[in-house]
Amino acid sequence: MGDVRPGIRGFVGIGFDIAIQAILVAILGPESVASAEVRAGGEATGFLGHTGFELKNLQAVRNAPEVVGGRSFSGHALDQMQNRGIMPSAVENAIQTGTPFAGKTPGTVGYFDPVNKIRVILNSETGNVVTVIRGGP
Amino acid sequence: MSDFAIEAREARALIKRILLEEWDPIGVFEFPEAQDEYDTYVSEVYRLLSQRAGVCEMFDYLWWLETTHMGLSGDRQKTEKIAERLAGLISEGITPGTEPSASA
Repeated sequence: MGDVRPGIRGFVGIGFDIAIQAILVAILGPESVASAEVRAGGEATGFLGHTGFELKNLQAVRNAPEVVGGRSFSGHALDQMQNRGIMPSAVENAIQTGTPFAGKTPGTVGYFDPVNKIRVILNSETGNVVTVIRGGP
Repeated sequence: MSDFAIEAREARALIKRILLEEWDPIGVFEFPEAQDEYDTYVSEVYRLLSQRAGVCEMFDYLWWLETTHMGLSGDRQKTEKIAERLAGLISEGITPGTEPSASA
């Protein structure tokens, strides 16, 4: 695990963190937990949301742009993947096998994976992953 | 809840709405699951307004988000308009400031 890059560190060893996070959120409420993390200046990348337990999007920017498995991800995309509990492999699968759809903003293209039910938005000029969202088109 | 807290909450709600409904650089407004897409950035915009940041400073932040942090090619004209809109909230009476207890 020594070669894990900072941007994907949040995807590693997360089960315990999620359990602790769930307990803290149940006791203190999600905003208290998020603000406590910010005040503590702690590493925010140890948590990962999932369907039905998406992390509140309250923290400042966490990730820098990074290449994971040969695919360029924006910092925003990595932040949202952590919030929404979506792995880089699921994103790559959506791009490779999903149904393309036109982006709502010029210069973007989307891919919908009907199996995992995620949408991936790419910069159509660079191929950079801009964001990842659960649900269908 | 104090008047300050109510005003701060309303200002943040307005900033969130402007970012999502008017700026929306990724084009996700119509997705119900993405209504929190830009929530992370509300606090920094609020902080900039609290410090009476000008249009240029607001634009610099939004443009950095759009082109560097999100990795988009960017729509400069639109983002300039949104920066003006946000910076103009101060003159519209939306004037976030330092929390009284924090400055005391």
